[in-house]
Amino acid sequence: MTVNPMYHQTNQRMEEELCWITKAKENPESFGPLYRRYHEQIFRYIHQRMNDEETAFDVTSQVFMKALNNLHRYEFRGVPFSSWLYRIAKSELYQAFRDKKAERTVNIESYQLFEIIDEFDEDNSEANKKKLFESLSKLKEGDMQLLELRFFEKRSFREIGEILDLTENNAKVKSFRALEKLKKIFNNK
Amino acid sequence: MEIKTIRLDRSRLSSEYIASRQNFKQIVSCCEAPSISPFKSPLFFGAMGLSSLTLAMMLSINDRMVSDEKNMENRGIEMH
Repeated sequence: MTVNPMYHQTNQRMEEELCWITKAKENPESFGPLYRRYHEQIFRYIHQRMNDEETAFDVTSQVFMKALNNLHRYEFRGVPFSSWLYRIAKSELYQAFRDKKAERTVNIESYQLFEIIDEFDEDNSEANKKKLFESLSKLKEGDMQLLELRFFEKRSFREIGEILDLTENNAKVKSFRALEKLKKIFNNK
Repeated sequence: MEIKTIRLDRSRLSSEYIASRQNFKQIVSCCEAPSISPFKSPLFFGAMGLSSLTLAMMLSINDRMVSDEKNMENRGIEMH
């Protein structure tokens, strides 16, 4: 499976961001480049998991406000700044669900369903697509999170680990287990 | 956490539209002034420094007074 290059962090990019972070710790206005770089990514991450667009924009704003207010606590320990933002986004997202501001929704594209059907070595038929769609609703939240990150958004195991606070290897094992669970539900249908 | 809905092929919002909804001013205006921990504040060190100095001075004065008293007592014994 290919990894989405949008989420790839080069050393040069991380160094540039560290520079911005250092400046932003002194002056919040210097947070601008980081905000502009990650606004769309964070919004899409949130919007992909909820039903309402306006709430997704609100939650995105909260993520950046929280990030800016807690920037003095951010220390670079080899984890990219984006992963720190995604962790805040995940926490704010689930807070919005707890506060009943939004409903947990899984948004999938047809081609993503067909990619999973391919992983199962099954025919790319409409019947299988429907069967997989129904199988997904039987998955638990934890497994769904892993599938969304790995198979729908095509993030690397390293990044999944950074977002979910797992080791890279654990993220890999858990992602494949989640896929296995989905396959089991799919085959029992 | 319960997954309420699974939606297929929802229309994708354009990057231009998402960018148009950026509001950095709002983010900055809501940012609280970074609070300095009281332990890192110069005031804390000033107060701590001053009280430590006073305590050291008081202890040294107290020590001197005690030793002076002892000396006086010793002299008293010698005089007897």
